[in-house]
Amino acid sequence: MSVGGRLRGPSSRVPSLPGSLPARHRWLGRLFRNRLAIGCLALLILLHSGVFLGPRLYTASPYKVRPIEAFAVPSPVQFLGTDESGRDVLARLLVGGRISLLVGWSAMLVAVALGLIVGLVSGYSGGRLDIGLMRITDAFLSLPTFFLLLIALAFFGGGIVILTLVIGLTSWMGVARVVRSEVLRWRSHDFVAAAWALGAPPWRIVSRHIAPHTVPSLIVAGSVGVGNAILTEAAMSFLGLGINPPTPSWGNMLQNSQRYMYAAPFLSVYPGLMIFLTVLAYNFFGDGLRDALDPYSVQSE
Amino acid sequence: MASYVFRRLVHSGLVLLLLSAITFLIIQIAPGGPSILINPDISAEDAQRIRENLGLTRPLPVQYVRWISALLRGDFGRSFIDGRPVTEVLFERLPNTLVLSGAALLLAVSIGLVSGTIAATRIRSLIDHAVMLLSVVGVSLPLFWLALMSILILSVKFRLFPAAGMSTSPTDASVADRIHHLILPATVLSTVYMPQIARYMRSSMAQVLVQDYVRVAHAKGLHARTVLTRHAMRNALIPVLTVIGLMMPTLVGGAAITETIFAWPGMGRLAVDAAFRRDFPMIMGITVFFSAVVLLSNLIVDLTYAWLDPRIRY
Amino acid sequence: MMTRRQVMQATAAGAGVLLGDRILMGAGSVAAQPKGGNLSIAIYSDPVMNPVIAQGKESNWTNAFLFNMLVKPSEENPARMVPDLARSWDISSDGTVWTFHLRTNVKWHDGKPFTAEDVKFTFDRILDSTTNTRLRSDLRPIQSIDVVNAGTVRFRLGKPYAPLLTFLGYTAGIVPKHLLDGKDINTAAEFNTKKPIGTGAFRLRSYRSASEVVVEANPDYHLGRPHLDTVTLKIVPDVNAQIALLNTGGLDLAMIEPFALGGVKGNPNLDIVTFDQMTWWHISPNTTVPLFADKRVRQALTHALDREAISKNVSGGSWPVMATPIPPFLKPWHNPAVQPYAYNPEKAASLLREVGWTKGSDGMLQKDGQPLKFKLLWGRIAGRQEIAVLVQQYWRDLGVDVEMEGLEWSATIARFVKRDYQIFLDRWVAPYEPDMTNYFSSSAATTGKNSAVYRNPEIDRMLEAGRSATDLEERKKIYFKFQEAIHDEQPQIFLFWQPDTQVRSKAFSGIPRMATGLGDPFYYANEYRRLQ
Repeated sequence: MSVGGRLRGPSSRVPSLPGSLPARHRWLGRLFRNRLAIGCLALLILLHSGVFLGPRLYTASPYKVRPIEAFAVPSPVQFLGTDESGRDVLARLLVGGRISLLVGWSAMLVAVALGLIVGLVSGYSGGRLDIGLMRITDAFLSLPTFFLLLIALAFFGGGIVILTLVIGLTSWMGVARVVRSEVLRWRSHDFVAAAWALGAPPWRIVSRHIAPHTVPSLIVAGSVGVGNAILTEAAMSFLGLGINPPTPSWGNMLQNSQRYMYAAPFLSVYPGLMIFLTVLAYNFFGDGLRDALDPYSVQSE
Repeated sequence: MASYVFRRLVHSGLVLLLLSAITFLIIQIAPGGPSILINPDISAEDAQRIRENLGLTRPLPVQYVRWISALLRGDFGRSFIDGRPVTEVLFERLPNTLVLSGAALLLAVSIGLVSGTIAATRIRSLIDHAVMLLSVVGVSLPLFWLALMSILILSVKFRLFPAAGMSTSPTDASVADRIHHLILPATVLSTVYMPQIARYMRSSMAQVLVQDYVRVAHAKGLHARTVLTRHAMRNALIPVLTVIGLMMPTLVGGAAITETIFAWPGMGRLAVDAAFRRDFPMIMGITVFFSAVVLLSNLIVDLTYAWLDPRIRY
Repeated sequence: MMTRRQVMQATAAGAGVLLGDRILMGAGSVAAQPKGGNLSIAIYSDPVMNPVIAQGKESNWTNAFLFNMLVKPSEENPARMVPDLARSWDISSDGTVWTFHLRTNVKWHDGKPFTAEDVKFTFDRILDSTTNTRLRSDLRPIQSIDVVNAGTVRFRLGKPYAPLLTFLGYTAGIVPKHLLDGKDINTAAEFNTKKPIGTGAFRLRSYRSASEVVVEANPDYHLGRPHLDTVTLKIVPDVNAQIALLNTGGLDLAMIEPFALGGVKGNPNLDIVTFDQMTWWHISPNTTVPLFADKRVRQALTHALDREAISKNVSGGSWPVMATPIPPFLKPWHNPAVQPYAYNPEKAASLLREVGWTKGSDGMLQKDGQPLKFKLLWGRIAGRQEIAVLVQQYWRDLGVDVEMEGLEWSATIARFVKRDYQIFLDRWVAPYEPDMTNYFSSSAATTGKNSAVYRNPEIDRMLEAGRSATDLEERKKIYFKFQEAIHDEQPQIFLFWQPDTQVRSKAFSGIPRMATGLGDPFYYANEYRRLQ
């Protein structure tokens, strides 16, 4: 709820050194000096190229079943062995990674797009529109998103489209608030007044002068958002509601492997590890970026 | 203050209405009826008659209005699956979830606050880095994976904890036994909240600690611990409270998965089962009930702000 | 001087009467086996404690403890019925009137006497079309139920109905008239979920939703008080949790699918036992779809599957390939001359060629420019995915483009009931009865379990004759012919039989060697003993 005079966490933090704001435009430089963040970025690039290019190099089929070879141990032909139907685990990890990352990114893009629009409109217009939009945002924040996801997926069946839509529609609120606070911060600057005086229409002021300043925060939100979306997809697939088999995703591979925990426990380690490392990398990178933007805030090292 | 509370309650009511409408629409639009009609042996006419009996053939707005008016009288309807009143089932399962989530939250808050404070007082030290590292790790772990691994290792391999259920048997349900059953699921569930709380506490406390009034307190010669607890804590807690308040809606989400894996008879699991079995009244009941809880807890959190920070007035 | 016994009893205090008992036994006394104890069984979800409307395994098992039927499957041969609440019965010479003589010393759990009125009430409700019951389709031939006197009830049929006894002993528990008369049985929540009153060896002690059902020994049971004190049916939805509990002693009996048995092998306190049960896996083509109307297509699809290999993969080979839905262990009905189709992809290809399907340049079959493709529907529970994936591969090798439609269970069943599918992979559980009317007769094409929507007048005639036959030899001949016909027709692509795999704690005796599928062994729960 937006009630004036109340502190609300990091989006409106009290500057710790009064009178000195860090030089924002140097965030890129600061980011590159943060070794952990760069390391995670490298890992992410590796991961993404791996799942998209990998299947060209490692040509085993993720769908071809060989019942005789079920639960095979790793071999030169099947790097990580096979699953319960004899399918190559590594091939499924790669293709499944594509799906999981696809869902993660699409859902995040939906959330960011929606949040951006709401935040920009709300922050720039002020007044009734602002209050109204913020009320809606707060209403969405108190929705039990897990339930809605559950119900929507259970009733409409799983699949990439529904997952993307529902995850996106339930996670835009944080972005909206961050964007709005950025807009509020920048809107009172002189260059905005100048543009307005020159007769620029509001949408141009917003899109050319204000919006670019929100990009760093968007990247932070996006980074963490992808991680969360991947976790949500995995959780839903685990309950049997996410990506429909036999299309692999890290989440439903984990769900499948659960039945064979005693026969082949390693089947649950691989997808779980992939999810963990990916989300971890996104989170660390997002953190590093956040620190680069505001190094004096004590979020960081 | 009173008018503020009143406004908030009205606002919450509207949110509930919105939510119930959304939920209602979703379950009506989607294909497939309630699980109880899932009987390959009944004929189409029989199925239709049962649908009529359950009130499923009336037009949508009529069904919705009937449901709302019953709700206002406190009647959440009856489950399609076994005919039990929804309120009865809800209240039967609610304490179990409260116990689990409460324990998890308690664990998360206590460990989170403490570790966050320690990290803040020893900022940029090894301990600080360790806390931050662990918190990111905690946020990135898939919850159900952690639950499965912990059962596999701690319960099956090392026999330290029971694998499932709230107690060994209803007759052998001593307090010690119940706590034994609670430890693993509550700890697993607390990893959802602990990292966030620790991080926000750390940053919030660190900001507070460099404030002038804290320096003054130190300069006065007060013991470090007194400064911490009497002066710094109150202010540092405020943003953390926001975070805890924002976590409320996810309380049942994480609990649902934990409850399913640990066979814990709580509301989260009830929601999952109801969704799968298309038990309309139960789904509506749970969603509304749960949202009401969340909205109420948000209100309480906001009121607690006022208590903690006298500058804040509504 | 005190005897060893006295010393032991004096010191045994808190540590255990059990300890004392064991020592007593060890001291050479011919003690009776100790009474009491609890048996813990795993079920997957909450039961509905009313056998008339109950549908799932969890309900069937729970109700087996609480309720009795007129007859029940015998321990030695589940196809043969033995008395339960009916102590004897006569059939009229024309086979249309069955008279059951009931036990007279039976009381309901609330003390009221059990009479023929209760039997009439139960079956009237079952036959009532407003009752949502699974039992009606098998008991439809019953025209009326009459109470002759308090201990005798008469069933009137239109014509002879040989399977009547089997179906009366197929989860058809008797419910009390005095508690359910005048109520809508579908929504009688007070009875169905809180206070079920039956005549069974156990009565309900407590039920905690999503947690467990505890039933306690009925001291007035007509066969005598059960030896066990209680039976706990723990609601454990996750198979891994069940295994964990079996290993730690939290559970004593559970039905575990073969792939998970690795978790309990090697545990010296547990036995793994396998029993035949009438559960068969099938893929049912919707024969109203033009593609599947020709039996050669169906035969070809069967020949194209290496069912042995599939069975090996999903069950380690413990699921035998089936020829027809009358299995070798259903004696005397099984026709040994009918053997399963061999795995023969060339034969499959040639059969399809006869119908006009030839391989195109892409290796896939096509006819008149149209590819041979269809959607395979299956529900995402219990092992269907593994089989579907393998089936898809074999058919792909044949040149068929199979698209997977693996839906969530409720959605799957909704589609099934409307027969909205081209081909459907699933599994049926049936009683030990050769009458397959509900699976293959036109009368069940749209309601009932005729998943192939199969309509064949000759098969209908055979099934009808089999039901009405009064002579055993005559019946046998009819079913032998039926197996030949159905084998040739392949309205369903028959996959394999799934035996029941139970994990049992060694601490119990008296549990019959019967499959748990329908809860049959639990009708003998009064005989179980706990060995310490």
